Amino acid sequence: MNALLMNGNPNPADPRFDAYLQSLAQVLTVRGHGVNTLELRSMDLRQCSGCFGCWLKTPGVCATQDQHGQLIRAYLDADVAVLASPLVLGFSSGLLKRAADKLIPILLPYIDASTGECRHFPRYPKLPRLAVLYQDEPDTVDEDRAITREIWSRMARNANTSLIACLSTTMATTEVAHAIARA
Amino acid sequence: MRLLALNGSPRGPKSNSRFLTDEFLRGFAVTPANQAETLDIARPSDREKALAAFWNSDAVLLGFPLYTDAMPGLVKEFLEQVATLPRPDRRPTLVFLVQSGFPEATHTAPVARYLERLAGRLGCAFAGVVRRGNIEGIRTQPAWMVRGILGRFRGLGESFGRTGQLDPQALRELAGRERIPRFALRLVCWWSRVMFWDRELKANQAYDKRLDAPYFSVQ
Repeated sequence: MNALLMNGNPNPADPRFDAYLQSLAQVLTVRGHGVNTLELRSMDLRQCSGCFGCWLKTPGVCATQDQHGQLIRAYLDADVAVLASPLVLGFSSGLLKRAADKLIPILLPYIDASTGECRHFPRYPKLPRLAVLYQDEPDTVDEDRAITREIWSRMARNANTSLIACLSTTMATTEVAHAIARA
Repeated sequence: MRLLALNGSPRGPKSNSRFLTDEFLRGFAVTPANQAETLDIARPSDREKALAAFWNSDAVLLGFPLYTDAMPGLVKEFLEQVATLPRPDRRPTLVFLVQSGFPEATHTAPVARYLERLAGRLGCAFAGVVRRGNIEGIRTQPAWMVRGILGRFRGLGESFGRTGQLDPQALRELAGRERIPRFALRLVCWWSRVMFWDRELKANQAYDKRLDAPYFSVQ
């Protein structure tokens, strides 16, 4: 199993989250899984401009000159992509969301209604399943966790994949690794 | 009432979100004492102005398109910056406008739930989320096709400008059905493909490449 850890921690001054991910990567590696970690804050990922160029002008490729290609390659190469970030204002970080927005080229513009709801057809035959990993804020309550899960579940559905787990850094890394590898 | 209208569309001034926001503001301006300023947070200079004005407004309208089932990263990062600023005791009422390309209301429901919680987290009064699907392309549609929907946005703006509140029933009606019938869904798929996607692909000489999978070799 190949896991992509998308580290959406925007704050290098808070090392707890990064340390947790490093520990998780070690556990997965020891168990024989492939791990690729992308530190999103160190990557040049511009905001998706909503230009539709990746659908209508250069299909599958974002027109912006940034590192979206590295992100998409890593995403497609994974069996599980872990959307990881501390909660900020009750939801995953804006940095992680910016990266998720840059995954739009993996979809086609055409709309699939076969499930009874609109979603875009996939451009690729195989897409990774998704897991969410979050770190609570001091004032996080269950409703924040439920909303975070609900939003990423919708994103997974509309990205033609599934959300296999919504995991917290309060869990042991061995437990989180097990949940990811089980996918 | 002093309303700060923030357009969170990465497309900036020429966006569907701005188009709908402008209609809301036309209604808002009907009440003589009301004042509104509109800023596009995709523009760096406007973003700075928005950060400076956010906490000093009576109300803030934040509009954006649904991007991968939530707010665009641009909007979330802006809000994270807003939250780091000193907050006065008297805080603005928050109103949100979320529009999506997909027609069903189910797509915008989770982020609306988040936005209500966000307002409470920021210590602001929450006036509601104006939600509407099937908005992609509205700026270029003939006037007769969009007259009704724009009138509803103006009506909401007028009501908010007069009372400082939004009628939950009016918001539900504007958001529309959570899901739409299958025949209507199929029509949406066909119509968007034939009338928009394929036309644009052909106009861009990209139709033959429409199914390209440029990163396929890694799989």
